[in-house]
Amino acid sequence: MAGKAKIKKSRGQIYDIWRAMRSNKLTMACLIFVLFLIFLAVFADVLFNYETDIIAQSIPDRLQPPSALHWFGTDAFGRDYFGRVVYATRITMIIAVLATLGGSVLGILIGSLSAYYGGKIDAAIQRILDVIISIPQILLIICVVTVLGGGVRNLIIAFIFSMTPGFSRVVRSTVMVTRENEYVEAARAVGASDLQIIVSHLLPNSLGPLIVQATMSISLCILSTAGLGYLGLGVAAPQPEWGLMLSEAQEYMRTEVYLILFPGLAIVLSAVAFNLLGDGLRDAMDPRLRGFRRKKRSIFRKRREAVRG
Amino acid sequence: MWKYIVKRLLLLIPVVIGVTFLVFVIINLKPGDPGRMILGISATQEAVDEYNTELGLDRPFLVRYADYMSHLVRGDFGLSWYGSEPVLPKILHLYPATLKICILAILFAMGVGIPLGVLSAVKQYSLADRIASTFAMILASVPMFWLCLLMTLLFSVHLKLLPSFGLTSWKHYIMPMIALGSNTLGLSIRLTRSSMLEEIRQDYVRTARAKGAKEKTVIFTHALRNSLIPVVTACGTNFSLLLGGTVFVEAVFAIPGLGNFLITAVTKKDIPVVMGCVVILAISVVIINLIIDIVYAYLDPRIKSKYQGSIRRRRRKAVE
Repeated sequence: MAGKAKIKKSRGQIYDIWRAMRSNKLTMACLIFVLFLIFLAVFADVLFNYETDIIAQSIPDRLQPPSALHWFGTDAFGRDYFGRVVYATRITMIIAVLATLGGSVLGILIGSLSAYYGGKIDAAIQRILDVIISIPQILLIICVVTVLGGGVRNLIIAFIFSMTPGFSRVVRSTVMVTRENEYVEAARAVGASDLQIIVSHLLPNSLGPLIVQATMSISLCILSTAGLGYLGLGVAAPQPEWGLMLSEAQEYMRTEVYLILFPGLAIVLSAVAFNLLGDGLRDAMDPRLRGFRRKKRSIFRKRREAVRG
Repeated sequence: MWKYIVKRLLLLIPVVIGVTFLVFVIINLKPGDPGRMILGISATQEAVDEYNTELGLDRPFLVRYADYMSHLVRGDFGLSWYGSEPVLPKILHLYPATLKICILAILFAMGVGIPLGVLSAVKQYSLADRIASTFAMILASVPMFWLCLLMTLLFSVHLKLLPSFGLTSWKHYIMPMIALGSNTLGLSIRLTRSSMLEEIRQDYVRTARAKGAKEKTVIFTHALRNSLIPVVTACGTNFSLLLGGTVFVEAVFAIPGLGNFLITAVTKKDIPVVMGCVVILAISVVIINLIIDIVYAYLDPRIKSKYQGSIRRRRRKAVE
């Protein structure tokens, strides 16, 4: 490891990751698109007036094809489709981000406790998670939604419930590995409490895999929200939501193709963006893909050759 | 090997109990007032209360669970709240259609995905590789029901080639198969590509080439066989996703299957039916995973020898 400083002066891990990410154009494009989605989600209320632009019906204007006035046309109730597609970003993003946040916080809590204490607590928690994981995720969500009903809040609860096991597995596996390190023992020797060790020594190591898992989960949430909306179990009308809009548009899809095109494209684009961002992040965080491995190998080869020679 | 199978089968029991318990807990968190829902607003409060008592909702939670389980092990999934039809025969009647679509979808995903993945890996960074990789990425993020709608529009409305609903002839299976298999197809392309890329850099592949084996033999009989192991496992575990996905596909194509039955029950809040469907689907996922594990252990000599190794070690210990 002594040679590492000679090979490359590191300006910290986050800088390295950022540099690796910046070199990948596709990841950067996705990052920009994701930031754009977040911008739309935050400022949707400023861009559109919910009462007059989004849900107000105007029957004379119904089913107009895309034009300069209505970029995406109008739906069966004469509402501007562009506004609804954009505003739906807000609802979807709120659900996806809050659910992922909740899932990861619970996952960190359960995963780190389970891995840190090990033994019977770990075994018990893992068996419970095994059970949750063995039920298809969408069925679990449907079960929760059956009981609680649809709506943004209940969807978030259902997603958190179904995603927590995945997050806690990720945290658990990294904590299990780092727990064995000597610096953890050293921290314990100087009198750090369990909480201190978990928070400042063990969790930072799980952060990378956790962030990757989170971006992928957001994409999964976007797809599930749309799916539930389509089935009529998700966000309730007249709120705009991509899946719900698709199910409303199905009736007219034979003549007005644009009605099923735009919300669908919105779903696919945002899901792809988050998935690719997750992929890019994973690659950027993997030191083996940042060109360190080759150099290390060549050092070993040089040494080997030196020994042989 | 038999010992392993029996052990895995025994491990199935706590999982099944756990799954039923979890689903039961979720569904009974807030049972609502089924009597009022079924009898309507005009019914008197006495009639509603009497109906709820008849359904056994006044009893404590654990008693109800024990009662449900004791009926379940005897193959009695209870009666639907609407129409008082027994749940299990109905489920068994609808299940084959759902299972057929799932199996077709997974065969489609692997049948198309593995060759594309191999092509992509062998010709890395070529145009074909880029197209296949992009295709895989998009497929993994397309909502199934939207794909169903687009296909209906193209193949049923415009080209008039395929029927858009029902399940009577072989033509009816094509669109559900493609839509349901789409996500798994994306996954299998990506996985085959990455595991192939890893395998073709292995020493044994170089040895095979050095021996003068044809490129075709090297790729298909040496590298592919090893790289298929993770792909098959992942597609197997994806079966759970497929069974969940039938909910969407069956809803769009109006297929009389378990997924459609479940959604109708959910919208009506028909708890015994929801419970029955989810339990059956969850148990089938567990059983399918078990079958995959067993087949996997049987096919992969490394896993087999690992297991046999442990027996040998145990025997050696016993001798010592």
